[in-house]
Amino acid sequence: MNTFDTLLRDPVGLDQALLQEAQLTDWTARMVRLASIGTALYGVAVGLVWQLTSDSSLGAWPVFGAEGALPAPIAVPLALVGGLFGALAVCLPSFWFYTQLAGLDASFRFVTAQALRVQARTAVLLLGCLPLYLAFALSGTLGFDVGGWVAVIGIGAPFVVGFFGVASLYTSFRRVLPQLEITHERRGPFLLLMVAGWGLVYSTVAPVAVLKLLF
Amino acid sequence: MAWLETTLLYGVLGLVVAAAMHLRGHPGQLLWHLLFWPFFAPTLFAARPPEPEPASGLAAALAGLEGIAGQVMGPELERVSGLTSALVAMDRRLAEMDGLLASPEFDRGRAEASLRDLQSRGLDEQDGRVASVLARLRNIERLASMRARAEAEIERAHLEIEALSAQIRLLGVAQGSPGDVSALIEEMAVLVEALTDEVLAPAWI
Repeated sequence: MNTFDTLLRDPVGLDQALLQEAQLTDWTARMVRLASIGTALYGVAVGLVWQLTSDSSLGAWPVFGAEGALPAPIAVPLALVGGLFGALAVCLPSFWFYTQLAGLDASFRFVTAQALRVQARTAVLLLGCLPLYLAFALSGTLGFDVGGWVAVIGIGAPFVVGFFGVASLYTSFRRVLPQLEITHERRGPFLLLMVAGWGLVYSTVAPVAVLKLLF
Repeated sequence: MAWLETTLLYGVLGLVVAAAMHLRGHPGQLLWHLLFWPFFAPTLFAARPPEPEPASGLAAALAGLEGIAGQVMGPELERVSGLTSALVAMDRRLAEMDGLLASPEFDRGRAEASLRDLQSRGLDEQDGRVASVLARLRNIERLASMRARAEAEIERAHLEIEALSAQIRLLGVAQGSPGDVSALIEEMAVLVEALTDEVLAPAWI
C-alpha cells in the first residue's frame, strides 16, 4: 500500500508503522513529500483562481516577501508550504512538551511523525476539496458575487480542513495509548486537552506565518 | 534578522542535516532533507536499529506455518532457537579470532621481520630463537586458516538458512496440494536436521 492509501485507508497500520523506530525515518520522508506536494498543488490552484478573479486595480498582489515580487500561482503555494511547514517546525517542541505534560513518554521523532501525519492528511483532504473550491470560484461567472471570498476561502480552507487532521490525531493517540509508556497517570480528558493544545498553538502560529509570507 | 540571513542559516543547517542523513544511509533525498531538515533532524538522534538475528527469519517462517505443515514442523522451532544461539556463538568466535590476529603476538609482519633479522645475523633453524619465531609463524598460519574456514562456515550457514526460510514460505503457500506439502515437509525436516547438526558442531571449533 502506498503512502496515500495508508494515510486514508489504514490508520491502524500507520500507527503501528510510526511506533517502529526502524520505519520512522522512511515514513517521515514519505509524509513530508506527500504533505508538501499536496499543499503546493492546492496552492497553485488557489493562486491561479486568485489571479484570474482578482480586481485588476489591486495590481501585482499578492506578493511573496516584497511587493509585486511574484505572481499569485507561485506566491500562494510558496506561502502555504513555507508558512504551514515553518509553523509546524516552530511548534514541534511545544507539541512534544504537551505530550510529556499529558504523561505520555512519546519520543520527539514520534511526535514529529504524528504532526506530519496531520499535515499530510490535511493536504490530501485539501486536494479532495479542490473541485468544490473551483466550483465556488466559477460561480462568479454565473453572476454570483464571490469577489474577495475566493481569496479568503482559498487561504482559509487549510485551517478549516486541518481540524479533520487534528481529529485523526486524537483518534490515533487513543489507539496507540496502550503502547506508549505512561510517565505519570492523568485523570480526565487529558488526551483531548493535549490534542487541543497542539491544535491551539498551531492554529495561532500558522495563519500568522502564511499571511506574513503572502503580504 | 533579515530574510537573507535567515535563509542562509536555514540552508547551512539544512546542508548539515542532509549530509548527516546521507551518511546515516538515506541517500537520494538530498533536496527533501535540505528543505525540510527540521523534520529529519530528530531522526538523526535515534539509535540504529539492531541487526536482525541470523535465524530470526527462519523462526518467523516456521511460526507462520499453519495446518498440517505447522503441526509437523512445529517441533523444529525448538531446534531453530538452538540454531540462533549457535550462530551467535560462531560470530563471537570469529570476532575473537579477528582480535587475536590483530594483536602484536599474531602480527605476521613483525614475526617475519624478526626471522629476517635473526637469519641476517647468521642464525639457523637449530637456534632456539629462530625455532620459536618459526613456531609463532606456524601458529599465525594455523589461526588464519581456522578463521577462513570459520568465515566460510558462517557464510554457508547463513545462505542455507535463507534457502530454508524461502522453502518454508513456499510450503506455506503450497498447502493446497497434499503431494507437494508432504514432499516439502520431508525435505525440510532433513535440511533443518542437517543444518542444526552442522551449525551446532562445526568442524573448525
